[in-house]
Amino acid sequence: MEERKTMKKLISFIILLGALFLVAGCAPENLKDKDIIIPDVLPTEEINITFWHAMGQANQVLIQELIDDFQVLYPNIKVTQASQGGYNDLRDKLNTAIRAGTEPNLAQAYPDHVAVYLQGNAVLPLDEYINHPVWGYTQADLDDFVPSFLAEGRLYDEAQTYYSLPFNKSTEIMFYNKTYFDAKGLTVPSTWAEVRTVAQFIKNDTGKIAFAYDSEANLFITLTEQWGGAYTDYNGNILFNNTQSKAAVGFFSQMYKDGLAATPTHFDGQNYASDIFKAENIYMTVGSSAGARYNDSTVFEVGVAPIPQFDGAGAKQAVIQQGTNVSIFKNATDAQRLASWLFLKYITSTEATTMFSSGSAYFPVRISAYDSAEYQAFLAKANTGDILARSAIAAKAQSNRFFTSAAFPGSSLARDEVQALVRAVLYGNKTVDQAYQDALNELTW
Amino acid sequence: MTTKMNVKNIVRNYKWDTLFKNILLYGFLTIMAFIVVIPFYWMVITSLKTRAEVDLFPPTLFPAVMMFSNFPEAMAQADFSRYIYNTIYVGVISTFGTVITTILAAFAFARLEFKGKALLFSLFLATMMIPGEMMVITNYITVARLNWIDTYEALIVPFIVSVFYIYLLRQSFKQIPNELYLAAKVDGTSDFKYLIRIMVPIAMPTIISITILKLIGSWNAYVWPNLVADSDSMRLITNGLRRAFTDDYGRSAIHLQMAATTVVTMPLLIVFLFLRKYIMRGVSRSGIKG
Repeated sequence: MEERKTMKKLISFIILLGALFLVAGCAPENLKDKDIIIPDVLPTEEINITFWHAMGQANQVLIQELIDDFQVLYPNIKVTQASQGGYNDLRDKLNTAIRAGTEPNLAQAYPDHVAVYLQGNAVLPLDEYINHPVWGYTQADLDDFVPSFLAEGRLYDEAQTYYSLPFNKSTEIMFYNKTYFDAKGLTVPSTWAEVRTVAQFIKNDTGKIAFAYDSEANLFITLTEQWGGAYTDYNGNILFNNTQSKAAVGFFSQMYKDGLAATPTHFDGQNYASDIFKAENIYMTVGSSAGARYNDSTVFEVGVAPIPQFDGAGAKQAVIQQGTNVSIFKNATDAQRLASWLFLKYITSTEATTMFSSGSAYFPVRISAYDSAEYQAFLAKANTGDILARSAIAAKAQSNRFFTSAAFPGSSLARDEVQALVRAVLYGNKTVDQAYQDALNELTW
Repeated sequence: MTTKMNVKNIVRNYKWDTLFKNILLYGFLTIMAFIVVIPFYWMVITSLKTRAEVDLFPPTLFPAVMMFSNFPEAMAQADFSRYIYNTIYVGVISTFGTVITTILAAFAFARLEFKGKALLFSLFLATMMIPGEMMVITNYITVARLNWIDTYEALIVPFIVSVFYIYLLRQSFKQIPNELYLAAKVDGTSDFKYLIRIMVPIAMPTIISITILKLIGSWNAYVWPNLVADSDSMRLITNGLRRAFTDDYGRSAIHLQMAATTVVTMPLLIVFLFLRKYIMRGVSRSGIKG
């Protein structure tokens, strides 16, 4: 009897131990610390890679087209795309996946996302691939990228290592009520001083606020840059407590006080100005080119122009560059890494970027794509009022002014804080100095 | 004479009292009913509005134009039949699993004698003190090591044991008199037979409650399925509804989202109508945990 009991105990102990080993033994090896070895010949066995993104339904169709075209070139590479919801969902899922070692091979990423992934040593540096004699780029290839788009992929360290290549890029542009502007003989403003003059005219004419800036954070960052002030740097230092930035915010705040300009918050706390614009309650709005469709009206003709610039002392021509890049993750076999690189290289090629940008609200990442017949045909649709084509033309006109604010793991916090700052100045009855002090206190404690 | 007057007075006062009480009671119930119905009402009218009308401020209480075309348009946005299938599949299997493990464990804790029973049971109860959200990352890592990410196993296996339900059913089992067990033993019944023939039928109402609550919980699950399902074919309806209508600019087509939500809420509503009695009993039995 006693023996049987001991036996039972022993058996259950062994089973328990076995279960533990089952869990531990199944652990797939995390390959992220393995040296990068780039095969000169692509292995012939089937290679499966996954691409995570945050694209909506319409763009998923375009991505599938890209995948299908890619698989004609490399039949043994199987690419699976998976939308993970919004950009924040994508980032959160990736952060969890990196900890568990289940990250995909490629993913769309904003620079500040990449900065966080880099803390987990998860992102594959691309320089060895870019410079590889068989699989790499020529100098002509690199020169063909829109320079500011390409630069965004290498702003993470002193050595300027590439950690991503540009994929879906957008910017801010100004939509205006062309029907109204034409009727009143108004010229589209290109400077903030002109915005004031035109807005004053519209206020006298209609009694309405003429201008709205969609994103308060972008308003702060862009105007600070235009006025020649600093915002943050790559090490995460907060630098915006300067006279230029305060002058910029002071200028916009004065326009608001004079009833000439606002942000969507003013209009019953809306998030975007597009509905107010379409209801003809404002006549000019600066918003993301990715959301151009939302500003399209069936009632009046919508014109699209570059965003206004500052033309005072110390001015810098600047417009924010938005949209994401694509990064490759280290945790994969050499064959998967190479396959991922080939896929990334394909989706940033002239042919692919032309196709993708002609069907979406994003811009080509290659200069040669702008000259292609297919893209020119897309741009020609601007004459018949196509808002995506009009946006693309306006964006191209200001493409030499693109800038990116520095990305570091806390840069989205800084964005949130300056958005609160702008709201505090416009709607919270705070003085500019007070609001800056509050934001600084929040960010540097 | 005076007594008669008094009785009249008392009756009148009583009538006024009940009337007043009823007005208060039904007034309160009406307000509460409104609070419960408004989200549903809002979902249905939003599903019938145009995109422009959804954004209007102040919002309209009834759609200006009935957009029945929202429904087919919404259902075309994603493979909702697949999502529903996944949800039902995961719900049924994990509920079945939960009921089995719960019955066996509750029987062991309620009836059997073994070493460390009290300690083991307190350990079980102790895990209830830890919020589930805290275990999400460790669970994810475990599931990832088993290579279960993006499979049904990841959606089902972590949820086939519930300490709370074990506790609930154990209490129910404990109320069954010892004499029944001893009598059965005298008749030579095995423990398992006793469990199946005697205890399960007696505790059936509790088991039905557990089944229903578990199904509802599984239908509503969001955070975990969102984490472990990577591909579209493994997605549950909750996650599908959340993401199918968001474009890459971050804006949602709310009218379509609500149309799809209305469609997938209907099955639950119908289930509720049929099983109302059991659901209400289950919820009241388990206290506030819904």
